[in-house]
Formats: sequence, structure tokens, C-alpha cells
Amino acid sequence: MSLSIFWENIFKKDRQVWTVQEALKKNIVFKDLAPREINQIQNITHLRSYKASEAIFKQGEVGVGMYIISKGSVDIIYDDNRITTLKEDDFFGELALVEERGERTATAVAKEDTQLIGFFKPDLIQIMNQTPEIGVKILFRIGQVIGTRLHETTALVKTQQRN
Amino acid sequence: MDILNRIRRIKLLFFLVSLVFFLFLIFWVKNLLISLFLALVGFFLLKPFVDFLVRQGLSRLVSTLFPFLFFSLVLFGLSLAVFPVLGNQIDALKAELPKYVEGTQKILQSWESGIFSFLPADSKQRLGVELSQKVQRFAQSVFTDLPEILSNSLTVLFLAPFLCFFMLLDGKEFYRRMISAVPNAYFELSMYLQHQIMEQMGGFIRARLLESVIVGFVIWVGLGIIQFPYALILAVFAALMNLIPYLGPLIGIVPGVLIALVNQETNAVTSYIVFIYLVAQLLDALIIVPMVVARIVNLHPVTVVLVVMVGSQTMGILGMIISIPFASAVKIIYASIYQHITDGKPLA
Repeated sequence: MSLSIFWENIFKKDRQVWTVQEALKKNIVFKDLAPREINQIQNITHLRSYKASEAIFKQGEVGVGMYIISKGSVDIIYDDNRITTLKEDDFFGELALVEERGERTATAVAKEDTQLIGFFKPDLIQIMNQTPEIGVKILFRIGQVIGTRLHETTALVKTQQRN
Repeated sequence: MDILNRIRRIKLLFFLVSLVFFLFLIFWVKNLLISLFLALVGFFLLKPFVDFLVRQGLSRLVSTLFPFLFFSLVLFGLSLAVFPVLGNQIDALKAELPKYVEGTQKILQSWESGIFSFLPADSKQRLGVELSQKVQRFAQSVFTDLPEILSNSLTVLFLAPFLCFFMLLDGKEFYRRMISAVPNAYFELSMYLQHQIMEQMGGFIRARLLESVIVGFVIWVGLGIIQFPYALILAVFAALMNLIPYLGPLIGIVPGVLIALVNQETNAVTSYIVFIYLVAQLLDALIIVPMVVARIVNLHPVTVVLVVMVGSQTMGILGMIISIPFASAVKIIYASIYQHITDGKPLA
């Protein structure tokens, strides 16, 4: 038992780095990046841990960036109603990366003990300044994600209007 | 839920204690505050160059080393060229100081008899004595403070570049570790505020320094043309004073005009000196301010006067100069927090 804890501690950091890299690779926003570029992004992301029922952000607050769920699950709540539950590898809050003082449209709460990878606007701006070719790839994908969401919303509004 | 709250409280307490300890350390060790401040100035000045080199594909270390060494050499070369001249002028001024103090007193007395003739006799005398004492004390304090400032600056001279270098090299990593200690509830807010503050501070420091350098240079060249005595000291003084908004340009012009009056220069020379100072200020107001300072937080004139008074009371001349950037930093932080908690309404 003690031996396993000993080994776990030695590789804890490496395992975290590996987890973050894997999660970034799987995410659509970072899909176009080469392994070397993923490494660069991994160096500026923030790994945050949340206890069950701890708020990640609240509706109406100014958003600073997006989160990828690397472990656990997150409830998205709008006006006290749970809209959806996001699971491992899902991401949320990407609108805040491109909005100017955009407010969070819903509240995000950790459903269980959850680990999130945060990628924030100041870091995106730094990437755009220092390595614009990576910045362009990320921005293109963010645009695509927002476009898809817009399509989905438009389709939903249309169906509701028809009904 | 209870455990969660306890962990949150412990985290918050730990964070606040570290913050208070850090602030206490900065204010308690006098040289640390100045070194940290100068290091920050250097950081904001060099950061665009470091970012540019990183963008060209160089490693962080090389990108930091190169501009750092280059600017150190430029500063070193400049100080080799400027310091001997400045030293000579300071020595000469020190020797002639009694003459100027006496001359200033005479000028003040002659003004006083004209201006205060309507005041009661006893207050007239009191004013004259007080004014001349103040002038004498200020002039002497410049030279009594100087050795202390210099001895302090030796420590600062080593500490500031050291801190600046590591801010440029490892600043981002250090900041990442700092922010990882922030409790979840305040994480996004801290991130946002840090970004806002750094952006504004960077712009502010670059703009103010550029303004001061240009004002100083114009005055140096202008006074140099007519070979006015102590041109360099007067230019450095005006440049430093220019860091103080509203009051600075006025304080900056005083020694130049006083020297001209005491030396009984012709009206043409005195007018020319005033003209040079005005040209420097006009250049500043018409070209530099619209270009770079427009987006920068300005302090209210009353705040400036109060802040300069507090600065001079606590840290003397040095306090007068660093109090304004310090107060501006506090205002930027305050304004950012205010804007955040009031849903984006800017601070009036």
C-alpha cells in the first residue's frame, strides 16, 4: 500500500501533464495543433480541482475563458433549472474567449469531484501575440464551434416557432 | 458540505495571509519597494522586445537575455557619458548654492513687499521668514538626501535588474503558481483583474517614461543651445518632475527661471528659457499625450497634490516622484475591481 503511494507521487506530475495533453488533443478547439504546439498550450493552461457541488462560475459573472472536463462531470444551470450535464472531455465557456466582457449565460457547478483544464483569454491573447500561427488555428476552431452552436440554436428556434 | 466550506476557508485564509505577508515585506524593506518598482518599469519596457524575439522563434532565455544585455549596455554607455557631466554640474551647483539661495530670498523679499503690501505687518514678516526658510531647507535637503539616495541606489542598482530579468524570464510561470493558489471562487475574478491591471500599467509606465524622456531631452537641447548653466541637471530635474501630473511641469520650470533671475540674465534670455520649457510641454501635450496617454487613467488634480504631499512626507524627494505612479497603480487596481463588480460601468 505504502509502496503504491510512493510510486504514485513520483509520477503524479507526469501523469497530470499527460492527462492535460491527451484532453487538449481530443478537443476540437486544439484539433489542428501539432504535438509541439499542444505542448506549448499545455504549459499555459490551468488545472483546477472542484469539490462536488462547488460552483465553477455563476450566471451573470464576467467570463474569462473555457474549461475542458478532464475528470468528473459538470451541471449547467440556467435560472435554477438544470439544462444539461457535461461529462469527461466535454468543454464549456468558449464564448468568453472571444467576447469583450461577456457575461456567463448560465451557472456551471461540479456534480462530483471534478478536475478541469482552464484555458483563458489573457493566455489566448498572449499566444496570438507570440505565435500567431497557433492563435489563428485556435481562433478558426473557436469560430467553427460558435457557428455550429448558432446553427443548432437557429434550428431549435425554428422548430419551436413551427410548434 | 461542511468539509468543503472548511477547505475553502483554509485556502482563502492561506492566500490572504501570504498576500498580506508579501505586501508587508515590500513596504517594510524600503529598498525592496523601489527595486520592485524599477524592476516592473524595466519589465514593461522590455516585454515588447522579448515578445517580439519569442515570436521570431528564439527561446525564452535568449529572447530575454538579448534585449536585457542590449539595454544594460546602452544604459551603461549613457551613464558613462552623462554621469561625469552631471557630477561636475552637481559639484558646481553645490558650490554656488548659497549664492542662489540668497538670490532667491532677495527675489522673494522684493516680490513679497509688492504682493503682500496689503497684509498686516506681522503676517508680512512671518511669510518672508517662512518662505526663505522653506527654500533654504528644500535646497539643502536635495544635497543631504542625495548621499542617502545614492547609497540606497547601490542596493537598488543590483536588485532591480536582477528582479527584472527573472520577471521577464519566469514571470509567467511565477504568476501561474501564484494564481493556482487562489481559491476557486475568486479564480476567474483574479485572472481578469490581473490581465486588466497589467495591460493598463504597461501602457501607463511606457507612456509616462516616454513623455519624461522627450521633455527632458527638449529642455537639455534648448538650454544647451544658449549654454545656460546646469542645463543637464535642469533637464533631468524637469524630466523627473514631469512624472508628476499638473504640478510637475510647474515645479520643473522653477529652478531654471530662478537661476536666470539670480544671475540677472537679460529679459530675452529669461523669456527664451520659459519658451523652451513651454515648447517641451507643448510637444508633450500635442504629440505624445494624444498618441499614448489618451487611454490612461488620469488622477484628479486634488488627488495629485495630496499624493505628492504624502509622498514627500514619508520618503522625501524620492517619495514625491514614485508616489504618482504608485497612486496611479492603486487607481487602476481600484477602477478594475469597481468595473468588475458594477457590471462594466467604468469609474467616473
